[in-house]
Amino acid sequence: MGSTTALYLARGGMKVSLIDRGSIAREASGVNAGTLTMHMTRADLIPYAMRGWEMWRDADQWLGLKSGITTTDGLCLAFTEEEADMLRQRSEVRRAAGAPIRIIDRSEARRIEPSLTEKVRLAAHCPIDGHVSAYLTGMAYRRALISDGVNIMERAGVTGIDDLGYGYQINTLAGTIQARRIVLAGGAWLGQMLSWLGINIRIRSLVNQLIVTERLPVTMRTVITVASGLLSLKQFANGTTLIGGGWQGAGGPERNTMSIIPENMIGNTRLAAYAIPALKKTRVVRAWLGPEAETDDAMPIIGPVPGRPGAFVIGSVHSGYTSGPYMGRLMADFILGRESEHPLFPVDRLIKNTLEA
Amino acid sequence: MTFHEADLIVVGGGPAGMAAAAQGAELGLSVILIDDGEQPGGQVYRAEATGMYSKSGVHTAANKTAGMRLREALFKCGTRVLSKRTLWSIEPGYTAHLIGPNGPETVSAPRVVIASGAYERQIPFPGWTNPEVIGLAAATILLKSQHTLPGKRIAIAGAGPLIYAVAAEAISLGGEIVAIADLSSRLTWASEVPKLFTSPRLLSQGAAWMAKIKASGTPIYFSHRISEAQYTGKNITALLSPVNSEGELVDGQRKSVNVDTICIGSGLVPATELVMLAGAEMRYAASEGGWVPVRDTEMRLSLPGLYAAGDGTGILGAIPSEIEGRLAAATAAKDAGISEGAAHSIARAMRRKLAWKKMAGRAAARLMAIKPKMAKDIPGDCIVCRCEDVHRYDIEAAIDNGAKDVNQVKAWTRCGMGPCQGRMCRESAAEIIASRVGSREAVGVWTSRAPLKPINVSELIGDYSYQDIPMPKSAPL
Repeated sequence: MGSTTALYLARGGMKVSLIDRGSIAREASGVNAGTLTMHMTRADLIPYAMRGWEMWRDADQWLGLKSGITTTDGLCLAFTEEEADMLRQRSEVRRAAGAPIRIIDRSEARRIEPSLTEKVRLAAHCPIDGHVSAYLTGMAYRRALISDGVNIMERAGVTGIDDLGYGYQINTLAGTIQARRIVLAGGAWLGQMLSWLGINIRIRSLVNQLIVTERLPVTMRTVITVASGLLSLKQFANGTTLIGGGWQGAGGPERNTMSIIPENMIGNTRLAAYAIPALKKTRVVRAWLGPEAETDDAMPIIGPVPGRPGAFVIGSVHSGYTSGPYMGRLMADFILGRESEHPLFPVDRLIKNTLEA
Repeated sequence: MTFHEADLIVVGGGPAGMAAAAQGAELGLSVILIDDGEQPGGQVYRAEATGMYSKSGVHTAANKTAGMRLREALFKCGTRVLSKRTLWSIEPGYTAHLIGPNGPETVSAPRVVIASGAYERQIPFPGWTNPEVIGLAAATILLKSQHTLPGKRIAIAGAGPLIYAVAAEAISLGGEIVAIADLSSRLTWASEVPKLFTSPRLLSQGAAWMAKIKASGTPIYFSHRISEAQYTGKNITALLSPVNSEGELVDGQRKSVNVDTICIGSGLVPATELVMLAGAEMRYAASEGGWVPVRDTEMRLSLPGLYAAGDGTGILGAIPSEIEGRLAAATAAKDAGISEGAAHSIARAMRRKLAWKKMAGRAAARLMAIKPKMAKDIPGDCIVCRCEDVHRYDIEAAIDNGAKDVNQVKAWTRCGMGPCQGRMCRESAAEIIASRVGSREAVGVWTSRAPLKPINVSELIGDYSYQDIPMPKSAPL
């Protein structure tokens, strides 16, 4: 989201520096599951996710990303009667929010995805899901940012921000830089970054676990999720399948403090192989973790930083990979003084909550 | 799922691991040894496969006795040996997660000695992915465990004593070694051999190998490596080319040999996946084989309760590894407050012995260390990562696009992402990147990920019903 914001600010005529303590698109972004899904998106974010999905679909045009993006059908599954009720209810809410989701029966679901287990009780179908090879997008962003004149400052960990009254001085390990405006887009580290500007809100770091198998012959073509939101499963063009769904690892958010919880890895894999039994014949090659920021209400913070003219914040977007690029563009539009197509998510609501608590 | 508990977990059944387990048990610790082999032994003391009729190869004399002695001590000491287990993850505190013949198991203990050994460094050349080309370690398994020749007409190339060990063993089993290409010069050998006098066993073993090779009339090409191998329908032709002391190809006469099998291995690399996954601090030491864990003189790693011994901590060979294993177990006993007096004196004795015995090991390690320009001549269209078909030019392109470390290159090219989990290409990829970015320290090391070896999904998840899936709380709507 930081990279997209920078890109569109530069395209809007601003002089932009993008500061990263490591390499851009490397922490959570580079290890993301890359699922494009309406089934897992929070209902209130559906309109944003649909715009985001369109941006990913057209990423060759605005980002120059030519490979690694697949748009395909998504199926959301229920295996028990309880889950079927949940699926009906959740699908209806998402449908009301604009997602083209419809409930289908077992046989139609298995027609769409022949590798699906016969144990599925009910499914929801969405024609606009898909996936992105998250590890490839960083390279595309870098090229696009450079060609649009963004000054990329990497390995420049920020140590603090001074409010100069007319702008901000950002102190980094690679030197200081002054700017009229500043956007904080530090993902799981946003809580700490906001505190530099005197804003204290609670931001929790989830540690999402991901599992990848070795290459398989073409086994599945859809994105598989479940009613509870605890599975995301798809096969990439290279044949590997990726199993996720927000099962938690330990530690975080620093990379060297995160570790997998084997029981959760087994549980997540069980759920995946329950949905697509062909997975039992493959091998798990790698599992890893990525941090995700979550506010108290699990909704995004996108907007101005209260009491700090020219300072903005963007982050904590649930299922953010789908809507991320659009959120970045929205942020840039707002800063450029353009009219927003959809409302932002001001941070003020959380500051008030904190004071009351 | 089966759960085990002990005072000490020893990971790896090679010389260091067997010795650590035996020593730990002798000092009164309850010990569980985890090993992925059929029987403990590791690579050097690899046991013959069950039912093999024992033949007397050159290895058999010293190594077999030493291996049998260690195995015997291990089985007598009361250590619980879990063979055929793949350790795929470890949690702090420590709990090791295994997959084996009994399905998933866990082993918990407050202390762990990691004796993970080493694997080969392979430097690619055009044709190295042909099935006629195998590693020296694979050849060793065939020779030692099965008494089977990897081929009839064999070329052997690489660095260090292992090339001669494989050559001698193959000759004694009736194989024809057409040529040996040694990356090191005769001069390098001459300067390191005197250090082997600190280890009479190594010296006599080496002398036996060389006598065997000499008697067979096998030509040895010092300062040579294979620059190309071409499959010719029935055989494979290896081109032996001269190199300088930095491992760079130089002008000079090349020799073409026609064989059915090529065995290669340019030295050994410590297997550090487990110590890295556990989160131990690492350092880069080229002369010791590459990335190694930071360790104190009593084998403690940077994390409490974690110890490491043997080749996995820097290449040093079987004899010093065994001493390190004993030292690590004695330190663990001391730290646990068990048999402190005895543990203390064993630790002291082992430290003294180690200093002396390490000289020979380190000399061999230097012969097998990476040479600064070893990867320089890998052609652009040569495959570096054979699992994912990544060529050198793919790696170069990633660097051109701004990648500055090995993990970024991995993400952008998939180099190292396949089923071997980067063990085959770790060294060559890192060398290529380091030659553009600056140093091996600067480019870092691939992040270690669980599972440490690929595991079958069916084994991981076992038989279960839907209710057996420990479902967390639903995601918010």
